Amino acid sequence: MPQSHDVVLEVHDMCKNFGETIALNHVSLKIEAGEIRGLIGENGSGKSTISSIISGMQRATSGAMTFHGKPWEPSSVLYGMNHGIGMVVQEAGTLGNITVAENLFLGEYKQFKRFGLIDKNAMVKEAKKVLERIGIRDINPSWPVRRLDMQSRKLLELARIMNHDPDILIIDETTTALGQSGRDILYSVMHEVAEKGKTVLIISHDLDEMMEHCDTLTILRDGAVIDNLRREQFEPGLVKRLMVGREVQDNFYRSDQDGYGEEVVLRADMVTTTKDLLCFSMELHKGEILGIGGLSDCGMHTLGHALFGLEKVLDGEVVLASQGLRIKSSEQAFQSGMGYISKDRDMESLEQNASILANIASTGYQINRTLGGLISGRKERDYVKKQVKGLSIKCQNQYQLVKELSGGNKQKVVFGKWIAYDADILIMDCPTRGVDIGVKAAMYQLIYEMKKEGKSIVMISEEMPELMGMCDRLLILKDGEINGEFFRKDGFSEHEIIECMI
Amino acid sequence: MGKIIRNRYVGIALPLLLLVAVVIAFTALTGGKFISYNNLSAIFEQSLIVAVSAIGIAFIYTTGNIDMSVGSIIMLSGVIAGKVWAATGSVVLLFLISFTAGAAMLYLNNVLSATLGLKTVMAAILMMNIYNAVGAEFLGAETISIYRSMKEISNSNIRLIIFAGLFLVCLVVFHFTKIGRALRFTGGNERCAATVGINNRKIISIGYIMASLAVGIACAFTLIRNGNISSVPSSMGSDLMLATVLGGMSIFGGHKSNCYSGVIGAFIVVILNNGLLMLGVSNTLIQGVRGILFLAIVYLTSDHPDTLPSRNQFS
Repeated sequence: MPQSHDVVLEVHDMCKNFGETIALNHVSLKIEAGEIRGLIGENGSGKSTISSIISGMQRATSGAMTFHGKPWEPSSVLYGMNHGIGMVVQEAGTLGNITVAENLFLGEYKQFKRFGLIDKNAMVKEAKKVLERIGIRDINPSWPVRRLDMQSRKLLELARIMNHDPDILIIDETTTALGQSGRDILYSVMHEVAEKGKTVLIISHDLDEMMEHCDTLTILRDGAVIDNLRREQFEPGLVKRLMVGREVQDNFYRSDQDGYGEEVVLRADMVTTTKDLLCFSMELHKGEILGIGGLSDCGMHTLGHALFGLEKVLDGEVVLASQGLRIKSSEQAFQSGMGYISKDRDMESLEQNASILANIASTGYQINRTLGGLISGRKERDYVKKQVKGLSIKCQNQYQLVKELSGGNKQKVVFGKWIAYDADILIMDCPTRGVDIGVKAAMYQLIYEMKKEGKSIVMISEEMPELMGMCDRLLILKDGEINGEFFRKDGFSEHEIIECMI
Repeated sequence: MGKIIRNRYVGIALPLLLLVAVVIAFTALTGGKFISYNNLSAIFEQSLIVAVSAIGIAFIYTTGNIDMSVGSIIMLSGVIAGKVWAATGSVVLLFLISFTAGAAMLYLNNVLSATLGLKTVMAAILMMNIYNAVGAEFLGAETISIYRSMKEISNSNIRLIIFAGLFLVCLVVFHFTKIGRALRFTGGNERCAATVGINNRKIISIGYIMASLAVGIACAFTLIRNGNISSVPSSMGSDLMLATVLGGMSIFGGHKSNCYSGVIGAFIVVILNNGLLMLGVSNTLIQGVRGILFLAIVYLTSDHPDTLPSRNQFS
């Protein structure tokens, strides 16, 4: 059993290059037993690269690691997990078409073998125990994973890794996928791990969360370690300054009281969907930022889908008021000048195997036509170049595949396609998920500018400060119904809003 | 930028190199018999049929759908057209019916898959069996000889002109219109495609329409080339898959898809079939060789085995 403050893992002079891009630049790191270590830095600063090398997902270009004093060269994530390092990944790490229990014991079915067959009942029973051990009680282990929401899937991954009792638990940008209840579970697991004298390595953009739970913060910028701060040195201004390399304004939300137009542009009228929504009505006005908040299972994500025609509306209707058009499909919604940013960035907002060009240009097939209705390659490239430049997307060129980009840059690509399209109504579901403060500030600025241009925005979010900071009006959902309405002009009271959510 | 161009060049150059390599290899192995005028023209005629189908079928593969029924469709459309020809003696009707029947049968796969909620590959396998049965029942072991009526047309350039026209139209549609881009997007990520207003169902149907036109033409071309009609289905379904991957495209579709790979691949496949046969390799063994080749290429060209595309179509 390692003693507290023993060095468990040492990273020595590590470099990682992707082609000409330098992701890690001579990084050295010592991680101790019994600590919760936070890795923090802007998008593309190398946080995920380090953690994925430690866990065995990829290899470093140069440098060495030691784990418990011995050289550490994991050949795969599986190897890493079997030897004491487990990671909850940023992207989806579960399989949708098999059950929760099967996911939980993926690759370890042998233990349930009886007479050559797998005893599913035993597996489900064991799964229940494993889930309960970390405090999850509302997931049925015999359900297929595709029926679970994002939060439950992430917790399932956590349970799978905890079942291996890792010496180092790595959590890569997971909290943004979780609501409050999920976060509470995650935090309690983290502290439990640390108390047992093991180590947690967490990556997150949420500075408050990091300062509350971490013992040490390692700050990265442009692939290099800038500083290590001990708990007593934590101070938000200092951390931000170190991350960005310059002073950052503390308040990046809007401060105006501009208000919005009278005209209703989009109306949901007694909308009922298969899941979540029952007779739901709302109106969106011209030039309004309408916030939709609530707990993660309150139905707000389904609402986003329904407004854009992606979810079947069983009863009632979604109407584009200016044209009197009833939205029945996403095709119609898109053609009428609506846009949609999904919470599930990797599966729904982006085609990962395609280039930045193909992704952003996907909203411009009509716009980039030239004589005879054919698409002009030059127009298309300009259409994309403008966004790559305007949003400063970090990439080699616009032909780079989206899957090679860092999380924040991916989200910029998503924003880029809708800004280029000049959508009149934009529905955003957790638009700043997994995005660092610098990019966040830029996105809030963009959203505000869209509002000033008279665009209407529905902002669905799980982050209260963001909703209070940006919205003109805020609807709080609970169990698929509006449980409260708050106005910017009255001033938002966090206490009242949270009261309304639960 | 340089990297991309290199990759693109490699993508086109490799199949061409392979084509040259097999030609040289078979010429050497057969002592020059392979490049005799008669053999080359036979290869060309057969390649034309595979190439025409491959151009069309690329519109289906791109969307992540697979259809293997083309061999049976060509057979049955020929049988139907042949029966009509035998009754009326009209060559115009022969071509018209073989084209229409071929196109309609391929499109039927799409209709079935949409209405019954089947995967297209299932619908295709189902219909393939039905077509084979109908063909055998209708014609039996009989052969209809249309050789005399085909002689004149087979000496004209009409097929080349039609092929060139089709190729051009498909190239433009695939690479310079919304349709081509939407096809690739649907193949890459249906859910993401839906959020930018692409109607996946509609775009798959458009892909099928393009493919149906091409396969209809291939049906007519087959009649001209063979000069007789029997109820034995050809191996076109697997020829097309092999041609597509040999030409450098993935049969899983998505963003790297194009509509010209199959053309180069068609020549390679036909040359392989022809050359091996000339060397005295038995037909069954050739099938085995092709199977192994197919596996090898799919393995080599799929970049991450763990991220092989999984399609949740119509679910």
